[in-house]
Amino acid sequence: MMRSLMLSTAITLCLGQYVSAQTQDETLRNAEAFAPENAIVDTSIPFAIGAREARQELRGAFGWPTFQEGLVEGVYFRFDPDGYARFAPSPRLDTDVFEVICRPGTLNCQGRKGLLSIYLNGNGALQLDIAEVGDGDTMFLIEGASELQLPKRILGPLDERMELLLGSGGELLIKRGELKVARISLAGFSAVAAYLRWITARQDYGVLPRGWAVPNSSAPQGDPIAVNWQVSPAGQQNQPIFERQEKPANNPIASPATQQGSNEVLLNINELRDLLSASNDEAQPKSRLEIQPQSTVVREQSFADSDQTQISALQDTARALLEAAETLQKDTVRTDENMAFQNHQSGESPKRLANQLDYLMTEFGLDAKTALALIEREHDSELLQDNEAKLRIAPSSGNIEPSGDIVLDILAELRGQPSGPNLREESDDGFSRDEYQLLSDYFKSVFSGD
Amino acid sequence: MEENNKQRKRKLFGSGFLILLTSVAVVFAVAWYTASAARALFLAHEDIKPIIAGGDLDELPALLRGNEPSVTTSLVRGTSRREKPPRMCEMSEDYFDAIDRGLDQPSGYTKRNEYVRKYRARRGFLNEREMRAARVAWKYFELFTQETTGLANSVGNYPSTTLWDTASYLAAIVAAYEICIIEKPELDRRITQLLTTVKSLDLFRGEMPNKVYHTKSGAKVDYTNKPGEIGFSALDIGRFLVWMRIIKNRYPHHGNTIDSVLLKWDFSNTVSEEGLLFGAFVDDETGETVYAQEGRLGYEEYAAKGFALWGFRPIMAHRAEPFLTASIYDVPVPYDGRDPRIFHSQNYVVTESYLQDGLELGFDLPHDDSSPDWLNSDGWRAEFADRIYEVQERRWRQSGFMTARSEHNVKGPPYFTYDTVFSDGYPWNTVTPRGDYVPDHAAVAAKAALGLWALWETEYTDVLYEAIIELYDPEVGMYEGLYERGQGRVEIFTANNNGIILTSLLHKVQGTILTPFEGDTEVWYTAFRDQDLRVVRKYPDPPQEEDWLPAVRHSLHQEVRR
Repeated sequence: MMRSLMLSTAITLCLGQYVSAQTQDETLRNAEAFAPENAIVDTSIPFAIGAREARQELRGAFGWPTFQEGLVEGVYFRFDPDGYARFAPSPRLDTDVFEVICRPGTLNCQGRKGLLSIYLNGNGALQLDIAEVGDGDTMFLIEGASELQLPKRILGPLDERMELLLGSGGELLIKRGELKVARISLAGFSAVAAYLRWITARQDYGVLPRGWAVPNSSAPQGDPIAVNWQVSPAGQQNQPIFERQEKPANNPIASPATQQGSNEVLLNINELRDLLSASNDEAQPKSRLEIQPQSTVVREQSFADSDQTQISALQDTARALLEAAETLQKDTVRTDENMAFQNHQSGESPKRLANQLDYLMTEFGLDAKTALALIEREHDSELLQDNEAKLRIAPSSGNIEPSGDIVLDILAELRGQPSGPNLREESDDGFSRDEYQLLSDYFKSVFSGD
Repeated sequence: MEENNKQRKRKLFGSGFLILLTSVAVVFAVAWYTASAARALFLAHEDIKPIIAGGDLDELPALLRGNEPSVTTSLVRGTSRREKPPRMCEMSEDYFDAIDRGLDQPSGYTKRNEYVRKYRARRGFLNEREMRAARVAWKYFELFTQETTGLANSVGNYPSTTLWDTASYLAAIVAAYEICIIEKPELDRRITQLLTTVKSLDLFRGEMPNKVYHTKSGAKVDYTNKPGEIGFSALDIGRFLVWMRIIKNRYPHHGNTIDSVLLKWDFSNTVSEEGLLFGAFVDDETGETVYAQEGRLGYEEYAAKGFALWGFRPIMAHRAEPFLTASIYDVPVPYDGRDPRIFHSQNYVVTESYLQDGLELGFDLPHDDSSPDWLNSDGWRAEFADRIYEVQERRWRQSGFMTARSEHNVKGPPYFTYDTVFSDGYPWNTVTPRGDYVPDHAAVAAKAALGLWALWETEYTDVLYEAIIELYDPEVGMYEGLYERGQGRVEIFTANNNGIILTSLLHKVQGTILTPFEGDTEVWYTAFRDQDLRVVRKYPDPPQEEDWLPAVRHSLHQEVRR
């Protein structure tokens, strides 16, 4: 009975995704004619600090007389009253452009860059589509020399951590076997995601990520960090991480039922664990490949790995569907009591997780991916040991992920076993070991305590 | 003693009598002299030639100045005026055998700074394919002209228009009539209805036509077609004035209507004392009208000539300076030298403004009503146009990209692009009005391609012709263009594109579209002479020789290597 219920829920979700994709196609087809009633955005309300409304000279009879332009999250942007926007790293908005197009007259918008498109689904969750991706294709997040395999379920609704991961920058690599099918820059991903939410919420700052520099807010005005969703400017700064703002009551798309809460945190932690396992599993065959690139055995192994990856991806998809169904079911009967129970059961609190992430990113300058990995490792000692062993085996190949070094260093520091330069009594910077130890202690205390 | 007394008395009497006579004589002499002097003084002008009304010595009161003829080259130089060519269906079969194309004339400037181009325009009857294109282009206006107002939509079924696009509609009407797609009743009906509507338009703050009007209601609207006002565009008005002059000169029976339309407008803030063109917009914060110089190299001169055709003297707007050149494929492409960062106005180099000058005005000065088509009295305009053509042909030859660049509409956001030869420091820059670089919207603009084909008879424009002449939907009109990067047609239909295509086809048949004015006086110049309205609204007097825009030539200025 339970199984059939879950199966039917999964099918419903799949159908929902299909319908949603169809709707997006229709959006693009219909977004052709200019109509003043398509104005959905007030360009005088700044999307971020420093943004300004500008007038444009029009030669023709119609068009939007104003637009807004600015710089946020390292990308320049301009958008029109109908929501049409462009985000790009250069002020000319000429290369590496994320384009957002909205279905005329609605808040249903879609961001796209090359093969990649993102949009908010019916539940208000960010969803990612990549055109021309086949069942056997694998996806990787590339940042510098590091390569992190992504589960297939990134093609479905994204949870916050996946969104966070993709928003941290880098490039999305799609491989078909060993063939690199496409490489898509993720520059502007987080800004576009924020923009889509902001539009959907009728320009409510409450849905913007915490740290997002918005006018007249108490948020920090430095580099905005899209780590987690900002709480309302109206004094809710202490809300837990990953908990989204209440959507405006007049929001026609997002539903309050999409508020994930602690259930989602638990789900996300499990997903992150899967993700990390997948990335570590990927590290070893990759090392072998590079040591013996010409070997037939290696090629066979790679095919086997590819099959394994596909199986793993299918399992991931199935798991994601089951989890989604489970979440949906749980949402319907969720009460404050069972939320508290689940929080207790997980041994984790969202607030603590938020503090840890925030601390690692702001104080240590870690990227989101590394910080998440670090947190996950700390919480799973067995996995940690396993990973350390693998990383120690591999150094001769020189193919350890750079982020692994950082993780190891920080973990070593956490255990009071400073490595490398930290072993010296006094560093080049003139800090004594005692001083450094104090900082480490502080870090450790923050990391391990509430 | 007594005898002595008598003698003394006699002497005394004699002396007194003598003094009296002398005094009388003096008085008479003075009186005569004074009278003579006065006579000489008061009757002196009788020796001057009498003043003849309108003669050299007659300082005409304003009341009479409107009766003076507009001085043109044919009047001053005693040459014969160009003649209005017959409609295509009324031309004899050997009509084109007799026309002077100046094929033996060497290229270059003359002493009067006229210019003979390296290329010649195409001339001849329209063939079957061209007639089909013309009929399809006219189809657009059959479909999208509003019955209620006679205004044609700028873009497809979107019910709004500008004076620029209304001028394109007028161009289409003239072309359709002259190449015998429509007959005179329809010509008159369309022109009369349109001009009646234009005359009744609610002006921007009682001054000049608003930038945009709703085509169904004729109400002034903003860019989103909602009731409101934007301001006015001197460039749009300038193009409209060109077509008002063309229609008035070709069809004098519409002259009174045209004059009455223009005599409703207040030009006091549009053409400055220095001869610059000013548009207007509304200040967002104060709601006040703000007047701002309008126009950059290319469009500015074309619009200036529109004003000059009605007696204004926009001498600075007609000058090319300040301009710079960018060397693209070794062609010094001229662009406006006013820095966009300072003046907040982009300096797009596109084909369209040069085409319109060439097709409609023959690259001639407004007072020139006698030079042959191959001799361009506004010499530098013709020379610059040649450069704009050459750089596009060279791009095709050296990169393989067919190139006919212009501003054009696109389907969907951003709805409009400036597809330029040069702008913002970049060659072949395709940008939106808000400044985004959108190379995917680069296209062979249909109007630019056929305009180039009409004015430059070359192998390259034959290629453009093949690309565009069948680029149409037979039920709607000519498509806007063909995407450069292979995305197919620019599937949108506009009044401007179809109007310019019809103009290009008409140019092949008749040459320069503007024909000389053949009347004597115009209501435009004689109206309101008994009021101060002409002074208040700055209506001009008929232009005299000293009012002519100067014919100049330019040496190359600063050059930017690209």
